[in-house]
Amino acid sequence: MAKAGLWIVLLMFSTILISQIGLVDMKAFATESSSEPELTLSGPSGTISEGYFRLQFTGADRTRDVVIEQGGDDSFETIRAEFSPMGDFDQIALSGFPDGTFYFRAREGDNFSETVTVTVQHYPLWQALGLFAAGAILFFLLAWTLIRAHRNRNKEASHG
Amino acid sequence: MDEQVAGFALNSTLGLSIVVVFGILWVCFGYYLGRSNKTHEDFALAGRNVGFAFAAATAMATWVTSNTTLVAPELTYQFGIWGMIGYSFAALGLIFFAPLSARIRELLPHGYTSGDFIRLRYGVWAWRIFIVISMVYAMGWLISLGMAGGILLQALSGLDYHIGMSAILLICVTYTLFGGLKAVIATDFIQALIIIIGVVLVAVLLLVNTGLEPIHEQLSVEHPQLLSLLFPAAIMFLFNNIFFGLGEIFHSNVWWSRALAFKRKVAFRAFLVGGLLWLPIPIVTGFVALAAPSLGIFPASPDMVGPSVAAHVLGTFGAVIVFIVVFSALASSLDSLLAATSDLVTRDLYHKHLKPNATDTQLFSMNRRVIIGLGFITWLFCLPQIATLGALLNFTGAFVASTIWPVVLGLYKQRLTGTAAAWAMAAGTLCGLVSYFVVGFYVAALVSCAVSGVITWFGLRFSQTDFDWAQLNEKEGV
Repeated sequence: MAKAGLWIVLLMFSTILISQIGLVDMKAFATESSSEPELTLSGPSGTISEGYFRLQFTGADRTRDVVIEQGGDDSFETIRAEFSPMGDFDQIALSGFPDGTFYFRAREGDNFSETVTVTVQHYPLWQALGLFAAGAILFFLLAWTLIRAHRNRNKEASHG
Repeated sequence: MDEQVAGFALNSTLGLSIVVVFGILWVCFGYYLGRSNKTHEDFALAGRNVGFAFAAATAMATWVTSNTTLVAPELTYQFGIWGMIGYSFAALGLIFFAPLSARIRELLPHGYTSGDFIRLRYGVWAWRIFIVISMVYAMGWLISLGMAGGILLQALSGLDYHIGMSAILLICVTYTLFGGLKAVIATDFIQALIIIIGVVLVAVLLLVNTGLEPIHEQLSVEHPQLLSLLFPAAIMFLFNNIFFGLGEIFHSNVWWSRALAFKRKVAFRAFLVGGLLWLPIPIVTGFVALAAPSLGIFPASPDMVGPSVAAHVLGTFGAVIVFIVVFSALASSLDSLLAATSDLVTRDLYHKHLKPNATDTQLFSMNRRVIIGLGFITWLFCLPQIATLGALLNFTGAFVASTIWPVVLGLYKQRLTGTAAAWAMAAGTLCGLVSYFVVGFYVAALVSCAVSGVITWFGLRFSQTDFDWAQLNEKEGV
């Protein structure tokens, strides 16, 4: 058992090391071979029913310089909001959007990606409230069953 | 672009150093406590003698997990106010388990696992389905915890996900291996204190440094749905989360092993107090996610939002606190789950099916092998970051919610048969999975529980047999 444990521990440690070495090499490779690829932005396909989604970009020279812009419309004459991705990540998660169509593009300096259109259409409220009511009934049925069974059991125990 | 927003609150060396220092502390503590484990019962159930303070602390600390510290902010970021409040309702799982724990202690004075109960109460078919559900859940939770460790370090310090995940898994496997349930419960006590103090500190500092008004203003304009009480997906999520929490606790050996390890009169109060202590924690951890947009923080993945916001607002000092709190929360759950799942495999699969005549020494040894094996399998599954924590956890909701009615009615009603319980769990899980893929993760547990409930009640209504409770009092053969 001790031997098996030792091997597993060694394997885990070696993966940590490989992962770290691999990370360094990949960064070096990326620096050497970057040749100004095109900045692209991708988003969710289809209609979003929950108001949250992710946007991902590729082809940036320096990920920290990329900003995701939200346009007032697809012409981007007015910029409604700007979102800066965290750290070196090449994607952002956005949430809390109401029903509607939203336009996004990535910008790095004067370099822009194509526009990504996201359509949000929340579930109908009747459907949500129907499930809420079903959940509430089921929950109170469970609570009632549990409390009643516990009280009956306590009564039985106290009677002998 | 604001450099501070883009950067990380800690450098990766500091992040890894904290993990190593705390890791060494937990491992030494586990080793120290494990020296007094003489029998398999000592190792697996801490001698069935855990007092109230440790019992309440372990109930609370184990339930404060990646769910609370990472997924509560994730769901708040996605579902707004309802995400935060809905998540805190998972406390109902602990509170409702209080009466069940007293009943479990009464019916199974010599029991070891939740699998013991299902096998003795419902027979082999229901037990097989239950074991599948338990193992899917345990692996899902273990993987989510391992992933959470990697995500935490990555969000706070930029450290590679695989390094953080491997380091945290390694530490938890090691100290659980040395100390068994006794070490798990003792470290939970310390971790519970760290979690409560840390969470309160973060909340106070966030309110002082940022205030409510700017957060509300930003959300109202740019992300109005997060403040809406009529957010459809969030409304659907509310009761689903309650049933997910109930299913997790009612079926899982993590909680059954605690009910069986606590002193006889302690279990009820411990779970009740643990639940009440836990209730406000997701509100606090979830609230920090609402501050993200106004601070210009847009995480790569929603499960990173909690630690990222807290670390940004509170600076390096705050990031260290957040880091220690979340690391403690992860460790307290990971060790509990490793211990409880290894008990389930050792007891239910190895002892009851493969080697009924196993000696105490063999069980002891097998238990430790299983801990190592589980740690290794978890690590393998964690390597590809396949889903967000919330999505992964809620996938298991389809499984666990199907056990709620069979467990509750099985503990109190003599007439429910094994066939009805088996059908209820199987059909509930299948329907839950269909709804998970067709509608979304926020309905899976609700559908699973509803289908299982209907079948269970029909089974109860038309059953002609009475189960003899004495059959649950199985004496040990070794």
